[in-house]
Amino acid sequence: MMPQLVSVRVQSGQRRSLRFWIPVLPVLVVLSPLLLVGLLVLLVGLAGARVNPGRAVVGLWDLFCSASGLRLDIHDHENNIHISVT
Amino acid sequence: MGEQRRQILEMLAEGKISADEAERLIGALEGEGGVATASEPRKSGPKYLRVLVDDQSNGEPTQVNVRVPIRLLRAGVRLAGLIPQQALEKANDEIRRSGVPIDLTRLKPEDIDELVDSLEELTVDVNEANTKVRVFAE
Repeated sequence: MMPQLVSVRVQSGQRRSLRFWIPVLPVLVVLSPLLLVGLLVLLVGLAGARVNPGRAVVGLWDLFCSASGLRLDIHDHENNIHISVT
Repeated sequence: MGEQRRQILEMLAEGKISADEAERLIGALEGEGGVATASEPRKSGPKYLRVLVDDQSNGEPTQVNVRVPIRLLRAGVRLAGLIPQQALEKANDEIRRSGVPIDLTRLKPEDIDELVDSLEELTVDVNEANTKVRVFAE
């Protein structure tokens, strides 16, 4: 299942933390024209590099769909960064 | 597989096979299931690879906590299997130059799958005076 939401929280020093919630599907829909062009460029590039474009695209999609559950937390004395894919 | 398991249990109940034989047959069934879903993480097995770093070497504490789904690792290595031979040979040259004798061209997707499988049993603990690193599957 593809990721639904990417949440990012960044806090630097004493400032208020910035939080973003990125809904993946709506963003994909909005960016779909660009993604289509990108996909065509990718297919041509892959064919040029003699990589099976079909398998590569399926692999990339699989990679994207597997990202659900990824979490990254970094805390140091000044900065807190939290990225979560659900 | 549920139907076959039921048949084995019925045969055991009817006394047609012994408990040992039933156990062996069920084990074989589970083995078949394992092969069929080799590309997917086992449901009962760990799902994530965790990397925890606690570093105080600069006098200030820094903590890193990464949780990577094992499915993502599998998808990544499967994608890496598409890298063309020429690119692998170039990477080999660079790796050899840095003193690590690994031949990437000999790594097959099945080997990489096995490698990811074995990550599920991996636990790495590094304890230094100011740095602690833990890598484990959960």
